[in-house]
Amino acid sequence: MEKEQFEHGLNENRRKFLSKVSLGLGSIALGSLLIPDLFKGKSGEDALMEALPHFAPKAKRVIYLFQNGAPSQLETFDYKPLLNQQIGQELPDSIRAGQRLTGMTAGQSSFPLVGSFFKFNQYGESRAWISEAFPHTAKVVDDICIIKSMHTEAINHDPALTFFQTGAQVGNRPSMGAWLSYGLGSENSNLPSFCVLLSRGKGNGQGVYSKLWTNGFLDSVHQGVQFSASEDPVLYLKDPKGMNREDRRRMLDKLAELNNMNYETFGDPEIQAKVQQYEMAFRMQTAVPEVTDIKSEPDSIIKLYGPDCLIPGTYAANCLLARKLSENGVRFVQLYHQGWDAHDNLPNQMVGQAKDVDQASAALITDLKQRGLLDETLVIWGGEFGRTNYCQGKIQVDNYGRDHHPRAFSIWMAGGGVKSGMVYGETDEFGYNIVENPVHVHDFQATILHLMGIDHERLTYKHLGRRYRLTDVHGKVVKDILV
Amino acid sequence: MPKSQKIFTILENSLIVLHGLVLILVIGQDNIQLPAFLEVVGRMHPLLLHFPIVMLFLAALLFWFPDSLGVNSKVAMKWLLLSALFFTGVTVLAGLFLSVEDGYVKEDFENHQWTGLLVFWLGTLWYWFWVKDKLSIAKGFSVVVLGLVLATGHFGASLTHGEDFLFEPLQSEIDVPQVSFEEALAYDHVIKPILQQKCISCHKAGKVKGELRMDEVEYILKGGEMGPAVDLEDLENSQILVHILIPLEEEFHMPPKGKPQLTDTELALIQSWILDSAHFDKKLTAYNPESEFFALAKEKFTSQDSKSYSFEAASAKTIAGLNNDYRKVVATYPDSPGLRVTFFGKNQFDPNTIDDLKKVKEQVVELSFQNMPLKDEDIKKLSDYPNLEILNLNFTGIEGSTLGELKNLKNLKHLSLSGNPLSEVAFESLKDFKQLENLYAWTNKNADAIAALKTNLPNTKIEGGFQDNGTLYQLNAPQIEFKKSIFTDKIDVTLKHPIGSVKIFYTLDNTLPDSSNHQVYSGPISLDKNTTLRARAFAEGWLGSTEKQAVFFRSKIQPDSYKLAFEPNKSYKGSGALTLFDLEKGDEDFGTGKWLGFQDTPFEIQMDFKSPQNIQNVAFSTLAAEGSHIFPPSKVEVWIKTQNADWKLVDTQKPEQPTGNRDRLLQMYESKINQNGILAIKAKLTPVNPLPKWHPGAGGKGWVFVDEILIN
Repeated sequence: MEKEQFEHGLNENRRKFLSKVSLGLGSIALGSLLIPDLFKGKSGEDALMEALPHFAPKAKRVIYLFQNGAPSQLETFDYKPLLNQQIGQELPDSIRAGQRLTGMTAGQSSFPLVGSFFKFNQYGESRAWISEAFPHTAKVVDDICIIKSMHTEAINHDPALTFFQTGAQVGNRPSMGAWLSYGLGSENSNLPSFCVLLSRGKGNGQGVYSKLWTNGFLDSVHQGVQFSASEDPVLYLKDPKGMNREDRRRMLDKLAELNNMNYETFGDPEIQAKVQQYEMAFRMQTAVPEVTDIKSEPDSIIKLYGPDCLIPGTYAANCLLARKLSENGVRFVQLYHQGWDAHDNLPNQMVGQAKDVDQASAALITDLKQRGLLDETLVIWGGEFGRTNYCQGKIQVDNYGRDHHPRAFSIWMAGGGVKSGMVYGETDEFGYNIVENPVHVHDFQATILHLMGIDHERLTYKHLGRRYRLTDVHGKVVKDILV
Repeated sequence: MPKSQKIFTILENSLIVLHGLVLILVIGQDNIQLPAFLEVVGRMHPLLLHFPIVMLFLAALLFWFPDSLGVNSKVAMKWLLLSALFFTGVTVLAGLFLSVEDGYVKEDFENHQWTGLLVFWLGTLWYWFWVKDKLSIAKGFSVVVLGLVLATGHFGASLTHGEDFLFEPLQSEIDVPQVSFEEALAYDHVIKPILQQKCISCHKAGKVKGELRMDEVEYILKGGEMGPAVDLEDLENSQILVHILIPLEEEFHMPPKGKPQLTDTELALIQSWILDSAHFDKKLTAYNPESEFFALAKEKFTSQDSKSYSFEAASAKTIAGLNNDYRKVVATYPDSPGLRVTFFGKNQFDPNTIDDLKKVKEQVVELSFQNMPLKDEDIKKLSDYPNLEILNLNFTGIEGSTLGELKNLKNLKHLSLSGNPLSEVAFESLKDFKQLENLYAWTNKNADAIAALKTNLPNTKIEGGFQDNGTLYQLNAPQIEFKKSIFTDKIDVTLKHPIGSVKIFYTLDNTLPDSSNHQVYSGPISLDKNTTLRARAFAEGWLGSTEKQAVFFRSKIQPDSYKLAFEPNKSYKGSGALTLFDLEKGDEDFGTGKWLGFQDTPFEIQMDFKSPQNIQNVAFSTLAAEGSHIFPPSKVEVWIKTQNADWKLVDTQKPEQPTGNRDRLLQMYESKINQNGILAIKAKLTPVNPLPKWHPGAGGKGWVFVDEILIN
């Protein structure tokens, strides 16, 4: 921005000079009309961005079903019968190998292993193991790629979430959706390119904060727009009572005139951004009701997602809305479903959480597939870390808790250039450490960018004197899972 | 100008010396042993050579157009040509030193050497004839010398940059395998292109570095000075492998530092190919599909993301002109001439705007009308787009009567027709779409037609989508809506369900609604006493829903003043005692400020009435959440006070204690009083202490949580 202001200053001088030597204000105005970019140089960043996407994208859009609070991998996708056999026995030190503990189990004198309360079965052609708590996901197993070897650096919710979303554990870096919006822009100029939907299960919840969908140091147009469950999905979008669309149009035109005058004087690019945002909001006034209208959905869709999808604010309703936003060209739809932080009473909480998300998540895959959109839409399901293979608190076969575990956990991805019916990576028989094909959070982010046609090393933004990227200085594309 | 004369003499003399030295070196080339410092001089050859080139050209310029500089061109010319020749001599000398180093083979290098020498010799003659004023002869030499300079430069560049360096960009790329995966050979189409790009420029006929040639298979097997490049007897010791794996810092690392390095994939390909027996004429398909080489090679074939199109790109201006807020026209990938067109905003959609796209009808390869209202008539327009590959007509409302018009789009690979009321005609015409790879025809009604289509289009993947196959799914529970669950006189309760067609059954007698005992909801329910409302939803084609419960309390009498004996715990103090009479029921989340929590002290309250009251009962609304150490009170005691009487204990309860963890539970303890003239009530709820043995916090103190006191 400083650079643009500086350049603007130079232009201003040149213009003043020219007008002083009486070349005539009119001719300059004419000139700048004919060549609007006459005085506008191209910054290095612009040139870099023009090259985007860097190569042919496999996925055009992302829907990220974030399971906030960290679902246990041991009750979902990582089948470890040894834990059932050795229930109550101590976790060997050789396996834990000095892994730090959270404050919640640091005082625990023993770490008894505990197996899944839920039975596992193999499904589909891929014969992947899935717990009985996820019967609908089991039906689409041949459309998804389960990664059992995710690992992260953080051990508590907030830093881990922030790390997943922004590539750094501390806040204020741009979120993944913001990076993609910055890199690829919106497909549909009548909707934001980054939308956020929140829902909450009955399980022990952890907060979500707007810093998770922040634009960080990027231009504010890249910020995630939160859709609420209330009557107005996007707050403050409606015109006030008594104002009709023509009035609004005239008001915006006048406002833009005033703003442009200011822009001429100060050259602050944020002024232009503001004008664009007003215009977009104007178009959103018709686009949003059109997209969020679920009345037009056929009955079979309601059955597919489950009847909860008609209740705004539920995970099922958000999945349906995510599909509608995505098919209307929203680049990145981010869902958060809270309630996975089962430090105690895990089997019970898991039943409720799984019931909330299982059918709708699988329905999203089926729905995209039947529209021919799964090939170009990347769907991701997963939390911020995993849960320990040992019990937190009192241990019972049907009632136990699990603490945070960053060293190994499972997520799944589907569509958009990811191999289907694949299980990638492996953990040891205790489900504690990764023994094959580890995937770090930065690798995961690099892979998502790669699928969207972006080289993660080349999507950068200069801020405070250095170039930043989503994957910082790390990250390797996980080629094995690409089609 | 005696000074410059002196310099001319020195230069002329040096020229003679240089000629002598060059002659000696040329004649004795093969027998010379150079001291190390002269090798250094030799390596300056690539630096020095630029001087004579430029100077000779300048000299020629001055020679042909003597007036162009406007100075005494004779002197200037002499300056230039003499020093040009001096530098030529030095450069030739350095070149000869350099040639002593190995790695250059005579035949290729000789062209460069002899043309270079001729430049020096003939250049000197040019000077000589010029000085002697034999201008016409000098002119002839000048032309020949310039020609030779060009030739020498070209030959030299070929030596260092590789034979085809100059014209390489004009030749078709060699690294892209031009065969299909099925046809491809392991060496010819995977390994050789890598070698060609990264190795062969230094290891080939003409430039056999390390005595190794890699341009033919036989030389690769024969190898160089360090052994066979590929050793079939001892694969791991193949010199290619040894040299590419050694770290970059090592002297023997190949390709040498500063030259383009192998990428990770290329390295992995070569490594896995050699270790997999280094087959030179094996087909890729003959490899074990599990092998690493197969996987990598396959990826190389499939990861070529840019398809090539035979048509020209549309102009940027045309494309920009087609873009607006409701229509996006973008290239399918960077530098692709193919375009993807997407329409947005069904309220803004005008089918006539499709015709705008005629300008780019060659270029459009993807077209999406998803959710746009189209008429079957409009479909005909799309038959004009010969290169269309992906067409999305989901939810456009077409019946498909004109789909047949599109069957000649021979590049059409993906056709999406989901969500349209397709007619039989549509399915009939789809039978001719043999070119399709994917057809999305989910309509939920045409399962038979889709099955029939599958036999007609055996090579097309047909996605019929989710079929409502009669599986009964459970409805979700109805919603119960009301203002407050505690009321003073009466309350209206509304029941709702998001699916309009359901029937809602409810009961008011705390029994589960089913076919035998229910009332069907038809409008707001009016309640005037303590009631448990239970409701379920039923509908055709669905399983009955789970139940939804709500409990309503009437609280007729409010005390005129009240006082807690002990303050609640400071983490759960709500709005103090007021919380107990605000008619706000707390829910299972006890952190909301609607609950008062007590742990170290019992919950004890005194409620006073200004005028004597007739009181039937008093009830305490509490929470049990054993997982959070919140238990039913160990004891509930109630005292009353009437006019001119002392406190009288009227009720003592010892609530049943749980024997294991339960779900959170709202519990009500009611004490019957049935007495007139009451002026005050005192109540005490004592927390459990100690917690029972089964509990994780055994031995500690339990909690009591109260949110409301109801007096009737």
